Formats: sequence, C-alpha cells, structure tokens
Amino acid sequence: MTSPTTDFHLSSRDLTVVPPPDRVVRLVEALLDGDKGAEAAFYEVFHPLLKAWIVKWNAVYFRSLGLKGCDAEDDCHNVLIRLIYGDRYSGDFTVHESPLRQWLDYNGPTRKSLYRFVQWNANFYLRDLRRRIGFPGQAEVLSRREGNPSGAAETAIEKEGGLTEEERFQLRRCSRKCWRKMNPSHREVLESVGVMGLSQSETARRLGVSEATISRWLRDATKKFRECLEENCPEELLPF
Amino acid sequence: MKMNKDLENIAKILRDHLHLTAQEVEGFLAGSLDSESTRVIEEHLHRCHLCAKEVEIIREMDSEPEPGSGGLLRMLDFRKVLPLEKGARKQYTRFWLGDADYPLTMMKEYPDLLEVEGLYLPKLLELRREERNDPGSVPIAVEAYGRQPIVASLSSFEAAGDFQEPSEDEQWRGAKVADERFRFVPPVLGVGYFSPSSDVLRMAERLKVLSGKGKRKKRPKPKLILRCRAKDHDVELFHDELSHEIFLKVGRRKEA
Repeated sequence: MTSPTTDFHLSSRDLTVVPPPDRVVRLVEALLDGDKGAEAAFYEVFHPLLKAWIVKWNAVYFRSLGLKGCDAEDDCHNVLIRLIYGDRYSGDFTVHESPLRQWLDYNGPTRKSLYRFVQWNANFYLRDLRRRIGFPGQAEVLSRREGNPSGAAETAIEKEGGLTEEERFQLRRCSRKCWRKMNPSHREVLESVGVMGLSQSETARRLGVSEATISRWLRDATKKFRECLEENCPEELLPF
Repeated sequence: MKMNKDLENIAKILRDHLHLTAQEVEGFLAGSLDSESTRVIEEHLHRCHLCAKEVEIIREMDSEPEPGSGGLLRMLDFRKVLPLEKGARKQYTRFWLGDADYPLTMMKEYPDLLEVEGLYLPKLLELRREERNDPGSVPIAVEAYGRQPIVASLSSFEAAGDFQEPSEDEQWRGAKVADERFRFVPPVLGVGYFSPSSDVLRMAERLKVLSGKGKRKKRPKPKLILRCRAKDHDVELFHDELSHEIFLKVGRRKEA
C-alpha cells in the first residue's frame, strides 16, 4: 500500500505528457491500490475538467436533442467513480475493471496521455447516460471494491443474453438494416420512448406533434421493426 | 400487454445492438478499421443523427488542445463543435413519405428549393387520401446529416397558395386518370409516376442541350401547394405543373 503521506500534486503538463512521468504513474498505481490520498488528488485534478466536459455535452448534445442535461455535480461524481472503480458499460457487456488499469498496463504506440485517456472514457460514460444505461450505485461499487481492494484481479466480462461475438455482430447488422428502412418519425419515437424512456407526452413535446400521433407512430414503428427483424434475423437471436 | 413487451424487447435490441459501440467509435476515429467496417459505420452515421452527434463531439473534444501551463479550463471552448463533414450540417439529405424515401437534390435555378427525386403529385395526393382516412398512417420526415430529423404527419400539411386540393370524389377520379396518364414507368427510374409526354419533351430538351443546339430555358418556378408548421421549421411543398415533380423548402422558424 502506498504511503498516505505521498505527495500526489500534479501540474497541467504532467497530465498531457506521453509517456507519463513517474509521479503520474505513481498516482494511478496508488489510486488503483485504494490510496485515499491518491483518490483525493485525482478528484482535485479531474473534477473541474469533468464538469466542463459535462457542460459541453449538455450544451451541444443533450439540450439540442430536447433532452434533460446531465447533472454537473452528481454525474461528475458518478463518472469519476466509474473511472476509478470500473463498470463501464460497453455494447452489451459490462467491464468491471477500472479502465485506468488498461492505461497503466498499455505501453504501445497509441498510448494516450492521462488527460486524453480520462477525457475519452468520460465521453463514453456521458454517452451511456442518454441510453439510460444506469451507472451502478456507488454503494454497489464500493462494496465490490472492499471485497477486492486492488480491483485488478477482477477482470470479469459478463455477457448478456449469452450471445457470442458472431451472434452480436449478426444482430447488430440486421437491426441496423431494419433501422435504415424505417421512417425517421418512427425511429425518433422508438428512440424517445423505448431507449431514452420519455413518456408519450414528453415525446410529443420533443417532436412537436400531437400525443395521438405519437401513439399511432409508436404502434406502427414497433410492429414494423419487429416484422423487419423477424424477416432478416435468425429466429434464435430474437427475443420475440 | 403484448405491445409493451414488444417495445421492451425492441428497446433492448436498440440499446445493445443498434448504435455504434465504443470499440466501433474508437476504431473509426482512429482510422484503424478495415474498409468494410468503416463503410458500415459511415452508413449508420448518415442515418443516425444521435451517433453522428456523439462521434462529432468525441472527435472534437479529442482534437482540442491539451491543457498547457496557462490553466486547464481556459483551453476548453464549451460551444464550438466542428461538423464531421464540412458543410454537411445544413444539408437535408432525404425526404420520407410513409415507408418510402426520396433523395433531395439542390436546384441550380432555384437554390431555395430541393428537388424530391422520384416523387410526383399523384403519389403525394394518394397518400394524402390515405392519411385522411387513417390519421397518423403516413409520417413525413426530412433527414439531415447529424441533426434531428424534421417530423410531421401528412395530415398536418395545409393547402397553400392557389392550390385547391381535389375533393375525395374528384381525387378518386383524378387518381384514375393519373393512373392511366402516368402508367408508363421507365425501368431505369424505378417505381414512381411519370408522364410520358413530359418525359419525351424533357428528353428532347436535354438532347438539344447536350448536342449544343439548344439553350436551356429557365423552367417556371414550381408553385407552392402544401405547407406545414413542424416543431421549429416551416416545411413547404411545391409542384411543377409541367412535370408534376415535387420540390421541398425548409425554413427554420424564428420564434419571437
């Protein structure tokens, strides 16, 4: 365990240098080892940056789509927790390991600075928010961490629905094919109600049409998308 | 309820399989994918404004200068996001009428209008009739690269200008006449209505222009026939009386 008295102070330049200077590597190692001082230093550096990134996502993404923006404080905290402890949702499986472990272990030609790496991952966490892919509760993450303080040994990748990589690829291909064939009005309704979880009246306000129209579009869209999937996808991959 | 269960299952498929995965975005932006995967992703980005916007923000943030000695926050510009393709932001690409989509092309003569390629008045009127009998059955959408599409129902369009929409009975008779007049569909043009007489005239005109013997006349401006107030936009449909082609005009509304 790293000494709690270690000085983890970083300059702006330290964050952007590739390969990272020793003190950055020490900070990340200590962070992954559960050092509270390292965690505090990491928060101190990345909290304001992350808040600024959230402001940007809200301005150019969430609000422009007529969606509620992220909460700068709560979501900032959630993203930092996920960065430190893992659980980034990726496609249809969940990676439990902290992405910082990969950053620490990777020494190839495309190595990013700590700043870029954190920014890159934060972008994907923020993107997940739109899809209502919930972050695990902090308590859940912390309890897992207590059971396995380093987090490193736990590299489980859980597959959902028991699909192989090839099957996921197939499902992706046919769902995209069907999506392309749908009228964008139907796509918007499925996305708003099904994926973003908006109510029909919220969707009506977002799209500027009546609730009755939304209801009709939703019915048609569901029917058409299902029919298209049944026509194009192997039966065993579909939940219908 | 069956409907809700279907929607639930579809939502799960959309969340997990439709949109670009983190690996795809990463590979796409890094340029490390093979040409087939890149093509598939580009195709998805052209149809999915959500993924296009996400990729745009991620790419933009990744290309921002890293913080230097001048302070971290100063380096961040909260509003500036560059489009994926220069000039692509404002470009409307396709017009959807029910399940059919038509490419939109710019007109040289009338730059404010977009030609709805392959859509002709009889088809539009036929679908108007369908929508009147079964409201909500014919959604309209105007797709634009990387932007939320403009959506409306066909019944929300009102007759405009001096266009008089045929009554149900007239339209039925009109459709029959139109059906006979427009029966000829050149195979190369695919499905659609086409007037043989106007086709021959235009073909002759094109041949004259191509051989340098004729000077192309400026075509009369198509007439406004239908107008709709979508959420933030005014959408207008125009009709060329000679060819029966349909044209589109989209204007962003400035609310007081």
